[in-house]
Amino acid sequence: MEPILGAMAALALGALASLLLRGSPRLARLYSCGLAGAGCALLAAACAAALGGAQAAGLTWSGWFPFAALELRLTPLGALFSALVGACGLAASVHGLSYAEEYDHRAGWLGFCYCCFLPAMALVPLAANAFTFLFFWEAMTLASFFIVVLEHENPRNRQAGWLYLVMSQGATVLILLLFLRLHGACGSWSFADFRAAGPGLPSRTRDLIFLLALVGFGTKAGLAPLHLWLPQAHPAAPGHVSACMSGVMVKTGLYGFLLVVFGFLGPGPWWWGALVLAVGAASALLGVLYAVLEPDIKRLLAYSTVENVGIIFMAAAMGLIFSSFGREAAAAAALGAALYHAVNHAAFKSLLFLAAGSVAKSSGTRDLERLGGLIKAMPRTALFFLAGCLALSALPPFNGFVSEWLTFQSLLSGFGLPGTPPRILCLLAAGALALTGGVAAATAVKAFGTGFLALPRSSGAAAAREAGRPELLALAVLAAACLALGLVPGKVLGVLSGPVAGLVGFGGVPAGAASVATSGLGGCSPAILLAAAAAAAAAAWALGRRLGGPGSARRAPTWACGMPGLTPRMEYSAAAFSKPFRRVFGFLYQPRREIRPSAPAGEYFPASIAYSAGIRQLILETLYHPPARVLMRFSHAARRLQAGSINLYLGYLLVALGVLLALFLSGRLG
Amino acid sequence: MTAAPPFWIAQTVTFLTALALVCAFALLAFRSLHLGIRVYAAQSVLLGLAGVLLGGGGVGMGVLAIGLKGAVIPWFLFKMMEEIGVRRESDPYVPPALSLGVGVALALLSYAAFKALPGLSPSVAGGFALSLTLMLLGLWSMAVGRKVIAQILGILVVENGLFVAAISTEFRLPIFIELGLAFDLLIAVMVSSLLVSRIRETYLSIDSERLNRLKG
Amino acid sequence: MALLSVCLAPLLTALACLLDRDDRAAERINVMGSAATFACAALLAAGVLRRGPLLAWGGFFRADALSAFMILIVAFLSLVSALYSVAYMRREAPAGALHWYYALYHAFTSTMLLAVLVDNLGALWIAIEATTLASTFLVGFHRSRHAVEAAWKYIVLCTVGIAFALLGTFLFYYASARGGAPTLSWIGLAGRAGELDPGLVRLGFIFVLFGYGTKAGLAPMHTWLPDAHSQAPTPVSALLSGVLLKCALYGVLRFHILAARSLGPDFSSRLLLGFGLLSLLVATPFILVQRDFKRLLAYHSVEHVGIVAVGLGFGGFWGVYGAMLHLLNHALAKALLFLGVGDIARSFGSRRLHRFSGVLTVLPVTGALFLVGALALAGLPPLGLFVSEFIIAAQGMRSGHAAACGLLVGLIAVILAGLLYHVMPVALGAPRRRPPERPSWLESAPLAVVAVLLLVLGLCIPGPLDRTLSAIAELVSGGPRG
Repeated sequence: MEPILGAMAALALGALASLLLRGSPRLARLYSCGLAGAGCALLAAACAAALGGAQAAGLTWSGWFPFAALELRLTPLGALFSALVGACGLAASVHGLSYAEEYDHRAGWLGFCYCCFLPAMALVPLAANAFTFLFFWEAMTLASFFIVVLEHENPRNRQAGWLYLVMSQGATVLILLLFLRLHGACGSWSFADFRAAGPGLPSRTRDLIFLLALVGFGTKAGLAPLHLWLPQAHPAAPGHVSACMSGVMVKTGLYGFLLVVFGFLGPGPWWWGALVLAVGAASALLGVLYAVLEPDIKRLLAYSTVENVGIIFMAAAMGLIFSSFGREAAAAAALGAALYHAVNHAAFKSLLFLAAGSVAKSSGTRDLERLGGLIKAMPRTALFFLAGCLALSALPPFNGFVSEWLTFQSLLSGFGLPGTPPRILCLLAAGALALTGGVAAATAVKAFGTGFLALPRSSGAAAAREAGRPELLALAVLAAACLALGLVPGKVLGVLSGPVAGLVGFGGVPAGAASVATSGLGGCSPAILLAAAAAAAAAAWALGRRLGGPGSARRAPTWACGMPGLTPRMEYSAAAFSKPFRRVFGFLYQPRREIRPSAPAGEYFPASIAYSAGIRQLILETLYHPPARVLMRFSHAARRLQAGSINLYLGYLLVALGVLLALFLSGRLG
Repeated sequence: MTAAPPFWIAQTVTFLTALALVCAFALLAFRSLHLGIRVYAAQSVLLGLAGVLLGGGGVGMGVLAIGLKGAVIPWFLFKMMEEIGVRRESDPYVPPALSLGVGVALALLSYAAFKALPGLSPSVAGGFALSLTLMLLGLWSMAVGRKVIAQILGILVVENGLFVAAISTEFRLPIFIELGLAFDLLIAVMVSSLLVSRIRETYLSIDSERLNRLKG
Repeated sequence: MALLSVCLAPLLTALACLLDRDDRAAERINVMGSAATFACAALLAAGVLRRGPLLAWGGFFRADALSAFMILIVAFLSLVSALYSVAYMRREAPAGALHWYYALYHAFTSTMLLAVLVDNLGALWIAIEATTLASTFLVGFHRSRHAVEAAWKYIVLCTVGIAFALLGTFLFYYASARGGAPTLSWIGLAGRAGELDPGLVRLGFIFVLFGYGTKAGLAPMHTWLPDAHSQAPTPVSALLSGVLLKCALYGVLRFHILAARSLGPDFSSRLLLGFGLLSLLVATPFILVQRDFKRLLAYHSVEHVGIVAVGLGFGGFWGVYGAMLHLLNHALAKALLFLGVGDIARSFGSRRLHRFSGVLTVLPVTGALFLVGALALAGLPPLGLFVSEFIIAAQGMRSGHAAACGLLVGLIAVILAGLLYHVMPVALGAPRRRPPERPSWLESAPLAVVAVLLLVLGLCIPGPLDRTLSAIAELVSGGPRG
């Protein structure tokens, strides 16, 4: 535990330094990001070392509060998520060394909040009792709230911050109730006691706790339809913090869910898994379908987070279903897939958000409709962004491929389940996942193509320059991690078997889950694939040189169909690229389009055309607005109770007394 | 504990308290504020006499009641009404018939409440029940009265109810409590009258209907 | 000796302010008097903590753990508001009225201290009635139409309400005759609690809860609260919301102990729980649609008094512990917010806070303190109210009131949404205009101290406080820490 304490100390020092150096923004930025990076590195190393170990080192502080102590314990599952925090935090901090210059006018406060956000987020998976968990959970939410409203002059950021905090608090309320229920059952706050008492609870209580966990932790993770805060909050925060939020903070929601449902409750009825599968599939589809239409690059990535969280929960759902039928090995494999995808998503989403941040800082805009041509101005950033996009689209040899493949295998193994409903469900879910994968690839192409290729669409994009060296370093490391995670799946699964064992109680992910999952369904080794592809490419190049003779390349402008030159107006716009999806899925988007030509001389020669287009926010309008409207209408009506007349108030007094006396007489008051 | 009072005293006290109850109902029925103050004065005198008759600690309190509530406070109120120049009539919010009906219901409720307590001797139960009735009737008359003076009268009737509770306990209340109650009543009336004059200044009326700017 | 000095100090201060017509001198006397009161209160509390309950005047005054806790809260908040008043009232009060203000202020404080220190329940009633009388003119100090209306509603509703509390007190007095000479002494009644007639105790407690509940702001008797607390001058609002409501709850609590010892804890706990939940339910819609900031804070007081009542209703050691801790935390948070709002309103020269924005940018210190107070009131860690709400909710689940616990936590979340919805546009955003003046350090320093205290209480519960709260919880629930 000592290295972790050291990491916390470094982060605390960073927070303090930030506050003290408020006056000189550059120093504040350097110190806060530097110390945060050092702390995160220490944290990642310490947690990685603890991944395989069965011994659980612990730390307890009591005496601060009389009713509960602050307890930390290094379990394999917790260590995994904390290691994720450390790794992504390290990358984000290194990136922030030069990126955060954009926020230098609030450097001190940003640095302070950042250095409070990271330790809170790191300690949530290490908490060993309910009070500690809630304490750091709330601290994490609050710190990230302050970062989201950092640029509070923009009303959209304020709106995003409010929605984020309110929904997080709603989630926390449910989680609090869950823990209180467990506490009521076993009388202590410690997770070990919850673990012991959970399986013995009556089944209705277990169902209730499961639902509270799904809704509460699902909101934090960003499962639809409770994901609305995500596309608003993540883009509002500075780029390096968005990376942490998307990459890691939603994973704490996943951690909480796995902890409660697998760790405390144990195997349950299969409808639990079915519900999570349905919700996960819905999230995946909704997330990616909104991502493909989104012109703002950071919102696009945020929606993609919703999609990937859906995929992770689908894998976790398969784990639930398998364990409820007693198939421990398959459950372990599914959970392995879920955790693998969580790690992968953390890696490539952080990469993408950091790159998007660099792009936004360099070109001054986040709008894909105004970017373009950046591959020439920022070649290295473009390369790393491409790597992230390939990972996002689940293409080999990157990491997204491996974990989606494993998820598919889990879903398809569902055919082996008894009874028809589970089989049909798995089939539908597999179809949804396939559709998601396809649309995700389209999204990635749109993001990269519109943002980086062709000509710059605005002056900002034209004036872009390559990102700073710390940013490039962070991006390079993350891209390499994406590649590495994709090339050695067997090793990664082996590392993950520790955490999975903690969840399922099985002997970890079976040796080479690839073999368990692939028996009968085919398997592959990405490393071999890559090697084969590289060999084939080299052979093709050599053959081409031999056959075609020494060639020389001629450089010329791109052919423009006879027009004098190419202009950015001739390129695909982001909206045009996603038009096919807008049409196919029109029932979901309900797009509307308005074209108003001003026509002094007929519609063929308009002087000007006004064009507006938009889609309907279906979930917002059908699920969020009606209850809010009802609540506000009720509140306005209730205000009439306080009508201002003292006679009315005296009447209330009389009625209250009368009711009390009547209850007393009827003996109801006991 | 003092011995039970002789028969004629008990009967007279019952008669006086019944009359006091009638006064409370009368407050609900009458619309005129001047008449209301006079009814209140009469009620205080009746209750004061009852207190004197009951003896023991009630003598001092009774005398104080007759003097303070029967004479000083009504004089004070009349003076205040003269200064303010209020109209004599005022329409209550609820028609008098309904008002009296509710009053009767409240009286029944309070008597039932104390009937349900087995641990009380009948006379004490009656005393407390009367006190609760007076307090409820006072509260009700405040709720239906339109002018702020009606609210002051209501508070005074409620305080009369407390007086009845104090004398029906058969034992002396500590003297400082009695003095404190009397002092408190005096201060309350003075404060209220000061406020009423301020209300008159700012609102140019003492219609409590006007005092409804603060809503919601 | 310390007991008497705690009551005498503010009375003497009030007298001195009244006699000395000079405004500046009144300000100085005010500050010295508040400091002296606080010092005496601290000494008394330390003495009680060390040696147990203290008596004076032959048992007429009695200070046990509960009283010591209350007088510390009263004296501390009175000191904070008094320091704040100096700069605030200098601009707000009409010339020549300042010494009246300070005289009434300290008289008000002395009545509250008196209420908490007397052992005799009749004297308790007189003191609480005296607080109403003393504060009426403070509420109506501004002499505007709205202030006069608020003062009238305040005095009428509170006076008639607590009259019923006196009836309840009389019933307890009568019930005590069974065991010997009738007594109004609380400690005497507590000793004989087993012999009191149960029917009388039931009915008496109903009246006391109704009566003191009116003064405490429990729904549906709270209707005077939004008007009175919003129209009073800001330092007085802070005292009214932060302390006076708690003194009324103190009265309820004393009788709750008696009823619990006599009837068992169920009867009074159920009543408190019912009123508490009703207060929460009633306060929620008003908070969601409230634009006037001081009224918003007043409704929050209704809500938090409801939470304290719910905590007492859940019962048990931890329920009472959480409720008392919440009492302290809320007093601090409410004072911080009221005074912060007052600062902002005065700097901008208008009370319509919803017209402002970007306070954090133009008034960094005040804006930050305001935001801290709002976050504290919403129940977010690491500030104090999170801890006390957590303890109360935990006890609720433990004692089997699962639905009530869920309702409590859910309503707190809804109210948080409403509060932040109103606070965020004011505190954050681009400022629309610069304030003509800034608050002085004398106004900001006490607020900063209160904010630091809230932060400390959110991170730990210091030893002496823990011992005091445990003593109170044992007193009320009758059981040891469990």
